Amino acid sequence: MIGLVRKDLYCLKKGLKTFLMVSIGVIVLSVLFILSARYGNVAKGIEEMKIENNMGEKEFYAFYQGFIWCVLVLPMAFLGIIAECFKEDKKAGFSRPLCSLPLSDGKIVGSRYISALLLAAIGMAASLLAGFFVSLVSDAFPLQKMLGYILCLNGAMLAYTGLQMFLTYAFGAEKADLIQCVPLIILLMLCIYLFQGKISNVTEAEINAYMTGMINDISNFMVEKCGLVFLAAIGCMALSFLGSWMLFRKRKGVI
Amino acid sequence: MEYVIELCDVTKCYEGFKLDQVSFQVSKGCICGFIGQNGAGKTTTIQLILDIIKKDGGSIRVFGGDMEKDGPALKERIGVVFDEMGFHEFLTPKEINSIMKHIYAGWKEDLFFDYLNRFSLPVKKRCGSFSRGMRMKLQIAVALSHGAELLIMDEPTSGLDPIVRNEMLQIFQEFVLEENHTILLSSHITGDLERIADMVAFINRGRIILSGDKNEILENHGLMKCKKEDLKIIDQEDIISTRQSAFCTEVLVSDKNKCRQKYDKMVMEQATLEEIMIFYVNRSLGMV
Repeated sequence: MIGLVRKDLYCLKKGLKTFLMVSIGVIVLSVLFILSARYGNVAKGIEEMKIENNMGEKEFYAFYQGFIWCVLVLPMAFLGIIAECFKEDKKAGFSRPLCSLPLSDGKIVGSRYISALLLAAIGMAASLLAGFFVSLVSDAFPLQKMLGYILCLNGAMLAYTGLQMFLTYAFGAEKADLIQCVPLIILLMLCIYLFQGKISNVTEAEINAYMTGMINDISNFMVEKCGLVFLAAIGCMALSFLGSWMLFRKRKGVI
Repeated sequence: MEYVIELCDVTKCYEGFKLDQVSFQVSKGCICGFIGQNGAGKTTTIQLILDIIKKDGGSIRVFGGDMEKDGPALKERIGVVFDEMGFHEFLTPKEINSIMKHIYAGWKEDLFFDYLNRFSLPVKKRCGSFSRGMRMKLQIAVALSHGAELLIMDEPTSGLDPIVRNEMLQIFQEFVLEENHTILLSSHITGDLERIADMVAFINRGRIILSGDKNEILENHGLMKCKKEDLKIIDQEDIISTRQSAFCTEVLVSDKNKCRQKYDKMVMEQATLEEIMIFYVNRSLGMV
C-alpha cells in the first residue's frame, strides 16, 4: 500500500513542485499584504477605495475576509491534482500490472485515498502556516478564526475530492477532466437555488450591506461549526472510498 | 503430479468473442507454452488466471488455491510479465525498486539491482526512454526479484530482435532449473516455445484444440507430402487438415507412426509446432 502511495507521489512530482512554490508564495504574500495594509501603501489604497466605493469599516472587513479565504484555499486546492494519478495510470496502462500485485482491492483503492489525504494534510499545513503568520500581524484575524476558516475550507476541498474520486472510479480516468467540473457545477446550482430568490430582491443601494452580512454569516458559521464541517467532510471521503471500492471490485480494475 | 495452474471449463464472454470451456493444467517445474494466433484468447486466459478479469464460469486454481479468495497471498508467489511494460514512463528503475519493496513482502533489493546490472539497465534513467528489449528486461527483473515460484508471461518476446529473444529464453531456462519454479508463457512465436517449452497448449478462437507434452505432440504429429490425387487414398479420420503448396499437397496427421506404416509410399516429415498450429487453425476454419 505504501508502495502505491509512493507511486502516486512520483506521479505528482511536477505538481508538488508547483505546489511548494505556490505555498511559499501564499505565506509570503499574505504576510506582506497584511503588513502593507497596516503600515504601507496598501493602507493608503484602502482608504481611497473606501471613499470611492462608499465602503464602511464593516464592508471592508468582509472584503478582507473573502480575500483571506481565497489566499488560504490556494495550497489546499492542490488536492485536486489527485486526478493526475488516475490519468497517469491510464496513460501507462498500469491497471493490468496493478491487478497482478499482491494487494487486495481495498488496499489498491485505499492507497489512492491515502495519497489524497496526504495532499490534503500538506495543503492544510501550508495554509495553517500562512494563517499563523497572518494572525501574528493582524488583530482582526486571530489564530482561532484562521483555524476555523482552514478546517472548513479543507473540509470543502475534501468533500469535492471525495466526489471527484468516486466519479472517476465510476466513469473512468479518461473522463477525469470532465469529472472535475461536476462538483463545481453541483455547487453552483446549489448556490443559485439557495441565493437566487434573496439576491433578486436586493436593490443596488443595499448590495454592499447584503454581501457584507452574507460574508459575516459565512465567517461566523465557519468559525463556530468548523469541527462539524471537517468531520462531515471526512465522512464524505469515507463514503466515497466505500463506493469506489465497490465499483473497483465490480469493474475488476478497469479504471 | 502436482499442478501449479489448473483450469477447468473456464468461460468468459465478450461481445463477438467467447472463451469456451478452456481446460488445461500446468505441472510444477515445467515451462508451459500457451500458443495461439492473435485474438485466440491467450491474454484473456492469462488475465483470468491472475484474476484481473472475472470469469463467467468454471474454476481456476493456482498453487491449489482460489485467486478470488486468496489473491494477495498467491500473487506474492507469482511474477508477471506483460507484452506492454505498464510502468509509468517517468519512473526510473531506482524508483520502481522503492515502490516494489513496499508492495512485495519478499522483495530482494540486492537481487533486483543485480539483475539490472546483468541486463545493463541504467538505474537512474527514465524507463520511457528504454527500448522495447530494455523494457522487457526491466519487467523480468521485477518479476524475478521477489522470490516468485511461478512466472506468467504474456508474449514477452514479441517484437524483440533475435539476440534479445535468445537472452530472454536463456533466463527463463535458468529460472526453471530450480525444481519448484514453473513458467506459463504465451506466445505466437512457436520457435521460442519449441526450443524451451516442456508442454504446450494450443488455443484457437477461445477453445483449447490441443494440449500436452511438447515432445509427445511433436512425436505424434507428422506432415505427409503427396500429390493432390493421392488424397483420396488417405482416410478422412487420419487427416487433421491439408494445405496445397507449389509442389505437393501437405497433410497433417495426428498419428505419425501409424500413418507411416499405412501410407508407406508417401513421404512423412517432422511437423513443427508452427505447422501444427496452422493446420489445426485451418481445420477449425473448415479448410480440411
